[in-house]
Amino acid sequence: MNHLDDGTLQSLVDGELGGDESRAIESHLDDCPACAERLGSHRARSLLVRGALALVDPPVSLDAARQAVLHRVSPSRRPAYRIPWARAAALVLLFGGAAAAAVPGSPVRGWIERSFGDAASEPAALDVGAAAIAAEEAVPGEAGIRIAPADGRVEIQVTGAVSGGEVVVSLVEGPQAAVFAGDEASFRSRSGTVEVSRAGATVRVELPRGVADARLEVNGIVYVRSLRGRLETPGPGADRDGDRITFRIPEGGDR
Amino acid sequence: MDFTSLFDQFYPPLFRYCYRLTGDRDQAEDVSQEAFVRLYERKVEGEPPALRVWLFKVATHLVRDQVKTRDNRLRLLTRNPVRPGELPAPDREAERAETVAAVWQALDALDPRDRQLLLMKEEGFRYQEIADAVGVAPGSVGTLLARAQQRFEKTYLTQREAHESSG
Repeated sequence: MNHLDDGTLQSLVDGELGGDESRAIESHLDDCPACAERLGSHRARSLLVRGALALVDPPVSLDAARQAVLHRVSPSRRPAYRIPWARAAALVLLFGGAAAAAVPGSPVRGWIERSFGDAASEPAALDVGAAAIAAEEAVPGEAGIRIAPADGRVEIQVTGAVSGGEVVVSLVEGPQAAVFAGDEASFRSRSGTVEVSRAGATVRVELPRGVADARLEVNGIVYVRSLRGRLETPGPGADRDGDRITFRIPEGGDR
Repeated sequence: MDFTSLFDQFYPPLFRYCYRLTGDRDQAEDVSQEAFVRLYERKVEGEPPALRVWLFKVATHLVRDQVKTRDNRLRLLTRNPVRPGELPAPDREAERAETVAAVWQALDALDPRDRQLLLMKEEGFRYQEIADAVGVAPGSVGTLLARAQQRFEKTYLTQREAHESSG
C-alpha cells in the first residue's frame, strides 16, 4: 500500500484539496490506520502552531497608523483621489476630523484623502479654517473648498485654468471665501491660502465682501486684488456686474 | 472597497504578520505602513483578496530587503532574556513570558522562506496565494508547510521543556 505523503496530508488539513481528491484520500484513510494516525498528528500540530502564534499578537493603533501612512505619502505624488462614496460629481475634500465634522451633511469621515501645506511636518496642526464643500453646494462637474481668512487675508492661487475659460468672482456675505473648479482639480490649503491645480475651464471664487486683504491669481496673472477693503480687478477682460466679476482666461494662458 | 475600508481591514493582520516575521515592532510598523503607502501612491486596483495578497507580497519583499531580520529577533531575545527565578512577576506571567520566548525561538529556527509560508498560512491565505507571494511552486506549499510546522513544533516543545526543567 502506498502511504500518503506529508504534503498531501497537510493539504487535506488545510482544506486545499478538491472534492474528488479528498474523497479518494478519505477512502484510503479508512483502510490505512498509519496514515490516519499521521493525519491526526498533522491536525494537532497545526493547532499547536496556531495556539502558539496567538501568544504573539501585538496591539495596533489604527488611527496612529493611518496618520503615519498619510504623512509618508509623497506630497508631489498625492493623486486627485475621488472618494468612492460621493455620489455627486463634486469631489468632497476633508481637512482633518474637526473640519469634516464642521461641514453639515458631509459624507466624509475618518480618512484624510488629501493633505495640505505642511501637514507632513506639522502633524498636530489642523487647518480648521478650511472645510470641504459639501456635495450639494457644488454643481455637478465641480469640486470646491471653503476657507476662512487668516488675519483678514485670503490668497487664492489657481493653475491649470484652461485658455478661453472663465473666472467668475462674486462678493458674498459671510466670513468665508470659497473656490470651485473642475472635478479633476486638486486643492491644497494652509492658513488663509488655497492653491488649486488642474482647475479646468471654469473657476468660481467667492470672496467675503469686507475682506481686508485678498488676492486671486490665475495661471500666474493677478485677477483680483483687495487691499484694506479696496477691490481692484487687474485681470484680463474684467466684466463687472454688481457683486459679480467675470474674467476671460486669455488664449495661451494655460499654466 | 475604498482605501479607508481596505486599510482598516488589512492593516492589523499585515502588521501582525510583519511583527511575527521580524520580531521588531518598529520594523513591522515601518514595513506595513510602507506597503500601504505604495498601494496608495501607485493606485493599485483590484478586488480586495488580490489587494491583500499584493500587500503581503510587498511587505514580505520589504522585510527580505531589510538587513539582519534574524539578528533583530535574536537581539530582542538577548535584550529581554527570560531567566527563571529572576523575574519579579507572578508565576503565571513568568510562565507566559517563557512560552512567548519559546514561540520566538521556534520562529527563529525556521529559515525566512519557511517562516513566511507558516505566517501567511496563519493569516488565512490559500496555497496559491502563498506560492505567489513567497515565490514557490503551488504544488510544493503543502510539503513545505508540513516541514515548517514540524520544525516549529520541535523547537517550541524543546524550549518549553528546557524552561520547565530549569524552573
